[in-house]
Amino acid sequence: MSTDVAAGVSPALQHEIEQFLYAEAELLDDRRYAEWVDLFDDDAAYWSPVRRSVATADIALEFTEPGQTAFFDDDKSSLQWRVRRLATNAAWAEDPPSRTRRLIGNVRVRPEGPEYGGSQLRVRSNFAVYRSRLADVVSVYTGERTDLLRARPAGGWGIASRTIVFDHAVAQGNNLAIFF
Amino acid sequence: MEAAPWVDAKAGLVNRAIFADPAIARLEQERIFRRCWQFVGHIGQIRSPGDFTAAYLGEDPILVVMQEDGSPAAFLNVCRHRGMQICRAELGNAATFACPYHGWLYGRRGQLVAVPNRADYGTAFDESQWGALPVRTEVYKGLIFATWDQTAPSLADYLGGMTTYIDAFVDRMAGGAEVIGGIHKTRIRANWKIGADNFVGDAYHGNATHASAFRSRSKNPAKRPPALPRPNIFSLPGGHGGVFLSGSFSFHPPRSVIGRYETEVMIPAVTERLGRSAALLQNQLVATTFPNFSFINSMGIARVWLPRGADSMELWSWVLVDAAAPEEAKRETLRTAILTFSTGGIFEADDTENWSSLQQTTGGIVGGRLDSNIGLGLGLPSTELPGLPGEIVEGFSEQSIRNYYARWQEMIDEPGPDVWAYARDPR
Repeated sequence: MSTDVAAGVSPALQHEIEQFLYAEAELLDDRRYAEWVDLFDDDAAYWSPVRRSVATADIALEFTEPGQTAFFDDDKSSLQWRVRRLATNAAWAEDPPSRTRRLIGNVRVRPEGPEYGGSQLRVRSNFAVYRSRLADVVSVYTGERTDLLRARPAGGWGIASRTIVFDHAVAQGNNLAIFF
Repeated sequence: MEAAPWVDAKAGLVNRAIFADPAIARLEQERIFRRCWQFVGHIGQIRSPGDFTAAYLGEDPILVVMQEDGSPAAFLNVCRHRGMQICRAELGNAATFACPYHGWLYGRRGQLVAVPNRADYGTAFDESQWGALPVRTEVYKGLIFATWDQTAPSLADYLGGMTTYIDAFVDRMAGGAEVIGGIHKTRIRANWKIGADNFVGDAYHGNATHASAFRSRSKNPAKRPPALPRPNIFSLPGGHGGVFLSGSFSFHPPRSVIGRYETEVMIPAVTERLGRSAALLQNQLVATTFPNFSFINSMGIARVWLPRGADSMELWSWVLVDAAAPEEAKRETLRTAILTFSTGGIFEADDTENWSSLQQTTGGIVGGRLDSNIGLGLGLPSTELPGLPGEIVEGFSEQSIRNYYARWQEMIDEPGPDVWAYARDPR
């Protein structure tokens, strides 16, 4: 196993990035979507390939590739449309809103190349999202995210890109009307 | 069980038992999914010999495999020895398919190639009798359809006038349509027919179900979404039908990549190749081919609603684009399809939520016995649009939904080959 993940960053930076991801999860669990979408840079990409059950011999086919079908293929503008939709009081898939609880873990922080001087980080994290809606409709989504974080001039971090890999082949819970 | 008249199309009533009763779900496996032509994939998914993709006819898993001669073949993905699923992958490439249980080995057509310990089966064992069950397949303009029924009419006769509408999706530009890799697969807690009937002509749900998506499109909250033009509802023999908007409506903003592609390239090309009637169908055409293949041409969406018992379905959804479109337009069509009509799509999510909620209320002893009202537009006159087959009604009408369920009832009632009479009549 590669050890460069652990070697690359200080405990202080590891702590800072974990706190950033926890705070982000809190915004979503608290339904503060307008604040959440502001964490994304203006040129951000939010993408989630389709995952498939394939034989080991064909494992290269497990994920769809960029340019192929995906569960999400958003830019900031379309993310903002999604956020505005949730505020219309008519977004039935989330109105009444789900009760969600996001657990973020296994946070692995790696600086991008030395040319960025630590201003860009590649961050992988695992998630488990519990979604309970209406009386008793429960779905659980697990997966991994790979984020590119950029230091913002005013301080803090912005999400320049996020790739979400789900652990399902057939999506459960009727839809994916929440954020990951 | 005996078939009962659950559908009264003339009165505009459907008893809700057909969405909830497990015995009816079994009956439609026999009378509908064992007989009808069903979409199982696009030819572009299997490019080379041995490429395969998994699919379903109702609840039966099949494998669709590209042959050496460039045609697809399909067979039941169930081992004839003990019933094990032969291939558990969704896609891949294989020269042969070995059952994991005892190792029966099948070829690309499903023929039984070898069995371990062959000598112990003795000389009476005939491999030719123990191949995986073959499925009849036909391809229409890249769309692969399959059926178990050897007495069913040809695919072209089965589709009848529906081909005019399918062409407005997959053959509107020279070179036809190509499939984009990957299928959205979603488990939805609702009976499969709810999705099929929504696409067969439910123009009525748009303003209420999709209010949030329309209202939030503009960043300016004061800006009201434009009113959708009146729909045209078409119904065809065999239960097929759909809806297309009148006027020159487009979902896509006029100056967007797709908006410009539509007005500057696609519409002129369609008009020249297929005529003005086909151009009329480019104002958002949403349709269902009986029983469960649906599409939206302006979004590049093709899909099947697969039954999973009475109260659940799997929605499989593909994205198709004009092969001749510029890369930029293909890319934007894909992005729009994902944003609107996919598992996380801002239109689809509200549909599936509502369908799941209406499914829930079938569980009540009172609510579950109610009739659904599909009587909207009863008595509206039909109109003629040159070049467009079927009965066409202008306005909000559930005519094509009535036509769909009337066909459903007809297939449930009639177990014999007479059910194909419509396709053998001269058109």
